[in-house]
Amino acid sequence: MKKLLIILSLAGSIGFTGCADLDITPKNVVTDQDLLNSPAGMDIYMARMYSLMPFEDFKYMAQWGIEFNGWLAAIGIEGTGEAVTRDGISTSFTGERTAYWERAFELLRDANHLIENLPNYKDKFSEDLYNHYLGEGYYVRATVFYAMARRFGGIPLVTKVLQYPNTSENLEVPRASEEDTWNQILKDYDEAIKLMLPKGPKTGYSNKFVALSFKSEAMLYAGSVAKYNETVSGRLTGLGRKTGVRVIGFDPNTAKAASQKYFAEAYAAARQVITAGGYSLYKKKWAANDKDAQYQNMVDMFSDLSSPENIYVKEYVYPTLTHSFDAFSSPFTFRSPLSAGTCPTVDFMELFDGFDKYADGTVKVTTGQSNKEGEYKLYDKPMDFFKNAEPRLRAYVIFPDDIFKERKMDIRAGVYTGQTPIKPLFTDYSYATADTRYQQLGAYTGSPKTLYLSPRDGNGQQTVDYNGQKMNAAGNEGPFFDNGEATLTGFYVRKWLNTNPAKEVGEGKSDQPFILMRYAEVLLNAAEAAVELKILGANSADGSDLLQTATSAVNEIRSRAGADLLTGTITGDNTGRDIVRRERRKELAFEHKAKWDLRRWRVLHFEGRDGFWGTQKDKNLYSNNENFRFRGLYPFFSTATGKYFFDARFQWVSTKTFRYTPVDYYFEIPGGEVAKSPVIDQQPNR
Amino acid sequence: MKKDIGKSKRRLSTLLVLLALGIPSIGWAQQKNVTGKVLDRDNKPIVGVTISVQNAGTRIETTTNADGSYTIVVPEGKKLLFKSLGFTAKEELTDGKSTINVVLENDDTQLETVVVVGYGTQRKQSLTGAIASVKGTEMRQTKNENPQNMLTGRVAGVRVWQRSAEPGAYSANFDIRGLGAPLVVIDGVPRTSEDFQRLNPSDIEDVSVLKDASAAIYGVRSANGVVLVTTKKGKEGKTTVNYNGSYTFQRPSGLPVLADAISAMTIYNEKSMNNINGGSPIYTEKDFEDFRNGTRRSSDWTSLVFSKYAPQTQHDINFSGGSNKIQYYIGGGYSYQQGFFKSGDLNYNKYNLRSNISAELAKGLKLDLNISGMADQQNNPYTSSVDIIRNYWKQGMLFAAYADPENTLLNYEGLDLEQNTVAMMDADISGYRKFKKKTFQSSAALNYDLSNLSPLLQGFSAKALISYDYRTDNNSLFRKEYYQYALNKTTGKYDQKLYNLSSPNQMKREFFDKQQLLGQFILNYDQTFGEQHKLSGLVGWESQKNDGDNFYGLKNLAFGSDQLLAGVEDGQMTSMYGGISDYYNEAKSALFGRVNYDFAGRYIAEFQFRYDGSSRFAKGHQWGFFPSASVGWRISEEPFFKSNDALSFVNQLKLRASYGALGDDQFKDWDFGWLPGYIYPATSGNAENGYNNQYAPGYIFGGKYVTGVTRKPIANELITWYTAKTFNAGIDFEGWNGLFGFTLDYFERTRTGIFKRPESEFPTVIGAVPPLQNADSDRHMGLELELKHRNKINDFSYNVRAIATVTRNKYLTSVENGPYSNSYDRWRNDNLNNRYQGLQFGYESAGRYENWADIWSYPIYKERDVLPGDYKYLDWNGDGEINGQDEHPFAFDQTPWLNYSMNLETSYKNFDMNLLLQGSALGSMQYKEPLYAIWGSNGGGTLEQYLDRWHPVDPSADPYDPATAWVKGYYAFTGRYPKENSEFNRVSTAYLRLKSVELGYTFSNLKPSSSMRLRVYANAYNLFTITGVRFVDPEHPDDDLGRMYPLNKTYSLGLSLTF
Repeated sequence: MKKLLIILSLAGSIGFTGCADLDITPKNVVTDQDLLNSPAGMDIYMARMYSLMPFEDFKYMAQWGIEFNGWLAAIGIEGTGEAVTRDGISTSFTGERTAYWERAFELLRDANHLIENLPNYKDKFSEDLYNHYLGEGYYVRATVFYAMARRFGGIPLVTKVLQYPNTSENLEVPRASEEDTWNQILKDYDEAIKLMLPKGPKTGYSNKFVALSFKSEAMLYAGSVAKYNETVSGRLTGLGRKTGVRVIGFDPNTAKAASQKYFAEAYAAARQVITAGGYSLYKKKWAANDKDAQYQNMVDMFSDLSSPENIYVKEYVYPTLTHSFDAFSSPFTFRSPLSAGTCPTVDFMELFDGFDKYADGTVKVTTGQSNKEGEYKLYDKPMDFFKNAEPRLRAYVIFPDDIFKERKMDIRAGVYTGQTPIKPLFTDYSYATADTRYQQLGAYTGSPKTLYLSPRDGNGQQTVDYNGQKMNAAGNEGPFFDNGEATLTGFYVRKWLNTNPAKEVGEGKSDQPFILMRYAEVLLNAAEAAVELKILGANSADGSDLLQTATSAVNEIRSRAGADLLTGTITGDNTGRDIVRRERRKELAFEHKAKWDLRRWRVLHFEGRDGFWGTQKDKNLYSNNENFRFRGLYPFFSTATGKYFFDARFQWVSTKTFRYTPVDYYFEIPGGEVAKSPVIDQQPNR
Repeated sequence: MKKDIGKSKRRLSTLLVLLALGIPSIGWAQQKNVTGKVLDRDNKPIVGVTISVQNAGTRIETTTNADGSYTIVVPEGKKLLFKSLGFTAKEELTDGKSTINVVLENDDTQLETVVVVGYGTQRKQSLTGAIASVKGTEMRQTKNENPQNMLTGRVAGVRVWQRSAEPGAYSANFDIRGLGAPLVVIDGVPRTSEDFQRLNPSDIEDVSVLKDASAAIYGVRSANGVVLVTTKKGKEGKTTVNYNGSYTFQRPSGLPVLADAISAMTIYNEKSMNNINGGSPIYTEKDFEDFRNGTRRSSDWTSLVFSKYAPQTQHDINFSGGSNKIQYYIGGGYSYQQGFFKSGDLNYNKYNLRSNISAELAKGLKLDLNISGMADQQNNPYTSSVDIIRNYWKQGMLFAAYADPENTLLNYEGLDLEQNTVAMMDADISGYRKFKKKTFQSSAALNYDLSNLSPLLQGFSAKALISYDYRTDNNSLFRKEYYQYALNKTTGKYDQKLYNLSSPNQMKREFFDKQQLLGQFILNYDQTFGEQHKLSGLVGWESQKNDGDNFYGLKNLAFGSDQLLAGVEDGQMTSMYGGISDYYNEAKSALFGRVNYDFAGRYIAEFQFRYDGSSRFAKGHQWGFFPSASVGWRISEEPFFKSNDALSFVNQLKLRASYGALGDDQFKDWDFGWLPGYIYPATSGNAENGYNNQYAPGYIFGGKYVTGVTRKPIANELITWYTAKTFNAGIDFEGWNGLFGFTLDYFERTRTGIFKRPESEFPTVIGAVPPLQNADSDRHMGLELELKHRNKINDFSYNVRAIATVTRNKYLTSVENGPYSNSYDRWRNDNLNNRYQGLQFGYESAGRYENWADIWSYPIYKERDVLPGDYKYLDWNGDGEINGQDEHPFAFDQTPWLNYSMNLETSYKNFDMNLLLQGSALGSMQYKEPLYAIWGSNGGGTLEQYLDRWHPVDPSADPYDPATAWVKGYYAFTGRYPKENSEFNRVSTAYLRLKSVELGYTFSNLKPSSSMRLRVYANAYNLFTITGVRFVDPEHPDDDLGRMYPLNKTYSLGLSLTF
């Protein structure tokens, strides 16, 4: 009996151990079956695609590229002249740390996969919805191709899912010519426009007008490249070494026709949005002749999700999906953990009306003919300097002493204790002497000391006795000459910052949306395309008056901005074109748009730099034949008068120098990709 | 002729003996046949015991046969000496007896006789594989909380590299011969390194290490070797109680500290003066004066953040004993370790309980029941120790920790990112992270001697084992809001400011559970045929299931209470971790076997195999066959050897060789490479902060966040095990009864089919992740040497053991990197094809610029701003300038390829002393960020070590004025740093240290009648180190940019009481 028990127990354990089943699949793997057969599944598939979209918003830094990285979030710092920041991320837009290459093909595979596989699930959806989803596939593909084309020129046009393993000719795709690339982008946008609903199934999805708007932007880029490549010395084109394909630029024989074709497409697409889209400029709080209302209206429009101006918005939601723009770009006293990431320049301010200017177009701060002549003009309070400023500028930029989040922005560069009249602090304001700083002046280092500056905040503040009280040399908001975490230029950015004083500032605490496409841009696209078409001697396809369209577009925007309206009709020449360009630089500042506009206008390299500001301005004011840099506007308090004066000087703290050559109009193809593939060409001019 | 001489000699000596004994010569001594059996204390026969007649005048010797019996002819009145390796020798007087049965006691000091091997045990002398073992008693001579660290330097080929002493982190690299993380088997059941680390050291009986193909019986997990840990069992006899307790003081081993405010300002001014275009000091004389006269306060952050010493304590008690039917061992332990942070909020405690019971249920049927439980808790401040140390280094001394003179309000002014280290290290201020682990491990094994069923089954036994292990992790992560202050000079009041990253109050709870169910059935066979053929073997089946599950919940809190139920709805989150180590369901099955053949103890052969199946692979690719074989030749047992007197000093001489195929399926990022589809949900980093600086794995549609999927890499259905072919050849020698012995092994392991994605060839335009393939290969090879010496001089006995292992890893092929644009590019960057692992490219030193004359006359091109004290580099390619092309392989990586140690055990009367010297060579480390340069602002990052630098005698002098007089130092002038990858900054980590020293005294007769024994001891760990590494411990890795928690030096007092 006992033996039997023993045998049974041993046998039992054999039975137990023998039955482990090895066919186990992990529980978190899903298939097309789960995703492509219902709107809920499609949401998930689309969420993947949209999460990978090369959107340039709060989580995009030009220096880093498409990394979805919101650390140090700042906008307009990449040599556009809009702003500067203290960090190494403030450099010319000559390339991206992470080239938009690998991630692009990943997303293309998703889009192609959708286009090829969704037909298997056609019966799961209504026809409209099915078409819309299919249209999203083309829209995503167009977006990726466009993002790549404006970086690299001609790119590998992967329009199907590449099956692996496979023979190498079925796996390698060479770069297409730049012209074919833009034609493919045009084709994919048109396919998307044809298929998509006028209103997407949910917010966050695209729609027909979104595609039309981005198409107008892309075609404007294509038309500009086709045209302005010709203006760069030596022409900007070439054939790939491996393939002989014209991977950058256009054939001289087709360039003009191509540019006309693309401008016409840009114009037509923008017109379609204007006439049929139902969008309009945001004017909820706007009131004629009320500067404060106009200012407040433009502040509000960037956070109002119900704005009729919004065409495509990337939303955020706290605490699930956030960004950190407030944490890095707020004024110094709101720092958390950093601040002052976006410091607008005085050069940007000079684009606007409402200030006295010298003959060369720079802002007038002295009584003389230039800023090294005469005496400083004095102001009772800093805001007096800005009393005629355009409401739009005030909505974009925080001026010294203006109010932000119920706090007075105490921006002061230093205190001057010398007697009146106050002569310019420097004898030379030219580019060559840009590196001489206030702390090197005799007034600061010498005896008697008449200029007080602060290296840092807190204990670092120098103090001056004024009216029996101790006065800090620098304002609470800076600038401090040894601390780049306060303003570097005398201004802070206001656009995009959360205006609610109760809202906590911090990393990953911000959730205001980013408007990737708004109606104002469509108006400006139409206007620019119209003038360019006129210069080419073309007419509109829909019979509309090109110059009238351009003029009313600019006036509509100026009126909303509280700016002076045009006195006449825009002309079909470079003067008219520059009116539109300058308006674009003002209106779309701090929206990741200017860096692309400067590229397509080909105005970044030395020879083209007179056109850098969208209008003609002497490049030698801010540039030598290699580098260029930007200026700040520094308020000083004069104890002898109890008044303020301003000095316009090259960026004083954490100085940044920018540089751009014609080679940089096309980014380098990542070296490893060229080495790895027998067909991928490097740029011929590199 | 020869014989005659021998005879006469013998007669002469007999005569002399008789004379000496003073016994009247009656005639020739009578000769007598003596027979008997030699048994061990378990009454098992011992084979091969040498029995020799003492003082016989000639050599009369025999050995026991397979059942332990012997016959010998003994002259009357002589003594017999019974000797066998691993047992204490014993003398018996014949006294006219014709039967002498002897029981030999195991001799623990004479190296273990029985060694635990895969699924069984073997006699040490008949081992053919490279197997080393160490007794628990020897391990425990090193006092440390982690049994892995106790193994340091104890076992040839086992490399332990302690990375930090952070309580509860158990941060140590542990491998065998540099092969990678070994399989850990505890009491016959595969378990994890974490389980081994958390064992109560007192429960460990011994540890065996299978270093070569002998591990192949573990098949797929054996490629990196196997560590077999055996816990203590009870012994028949009356109950023995054993208590051990110790108290330990820990001090950091290598923790760079900050210089004071005055030095920091001096250094910062120097840095600012260091500008060829003209520099200006940042801090004025007034700033210095303000600190000197107390106008400005500074804090001694070092003493605010770090304790002088941190306590550690350990207690355990165990009971063992039993009858001849049932034996038990029951042990319990407690240990506590505190970290160096002054708050005391970094600490760790652990409880262990173990019960090992053996019972004979019926004749021939034995039950072994092992049950153990472990509960530990790791308490950390909310901020990790790396970040606390980083922040301490970064802030510097210029700003005080507290805003007010009474030290009640935390300061934020002047601190980089407003991070106050005092707040960060204190759980009461900033919150905590608590990690609680509980494990339950059990196994029940039935052993049945099948000869009880039928005599036909003589030699057969069967074993069935079931094991069930369970582990839970229960973690609480509590972030607490806090406020910091700064004096507002205008209002005279303190401005209050919320420390932003601490907000909102947040609680996260994580719960993991993991279990393992394992069954084994083994049929053993052991039989001797004739006198000399010994055959044994086993065949077994093993099956194992593992699963892991988890979830977590996160809530922002309404107020600062650390309760999830006090949370608010806004921002709450529940989810799971989907990684392969957290959420899994896996199974393994295997058929395995072994055959041993031993001919007369001289020729030994062994064959093993395992047929292993794993659920990780696709059907059809799940099973693998892993055979191995080894042979041994005990030359010392050959008759010709034994008959040669000149060789009689040799106790053991053995040659061994082994070869086998082993497998591995371990891959950190294993994702079931054969399975296509998508992973849902997609995940990304920094989810708790809304992915603000990372890719967000979803998008907002209709105002709601929709999580997306991750597309899986392209599938490869063929993916299967990768294999390792291991070869080992060795020689074992012991002579002069232990006065000298050595073991020398050569080993080589070649792995093929290592998982790798063919990134180099895979066109990017495909837009997918390439499939995982069995593509790469590499080879490890090395030598291992062990020298032994033991002796006893009167009451003083000692034992010396020295070991050294050198190992290298060479990559053979790889599909991962490349392609390369040219051959220089390949030479410079291809680290994975046909190249030794870890070669570091960089610049060699050519000394320093000693003075201006040196600078002016130095022939190599240099920048115009060179100063005295600057670094010179070797112009390796001789082109007259220093640039990237002068970089060449000049150092090893951080893994030291040569490890060595020397262990000395001595005892004199009641005193005992143990020394362990240990070291490594052929490794290097790089000083990174804070250890490389002054890293911070506002006076931050100024470590004391940077004061030892070249600088002008007069701090305000222009350094570029050739008339300026200089003071020499280790570093160059502040603001000048060597190239990071140069000999100045990447230094050899070679070191020799006194790893452990212990002095003990035993009171053996506390009570005359009892067996009570008390030992008291003092121990020091990492007492001193000889190394070229400055400021940090040479074992401290440069990972985490050198900011990792330091190693420790410890000083312990303890006692151990047995009765």
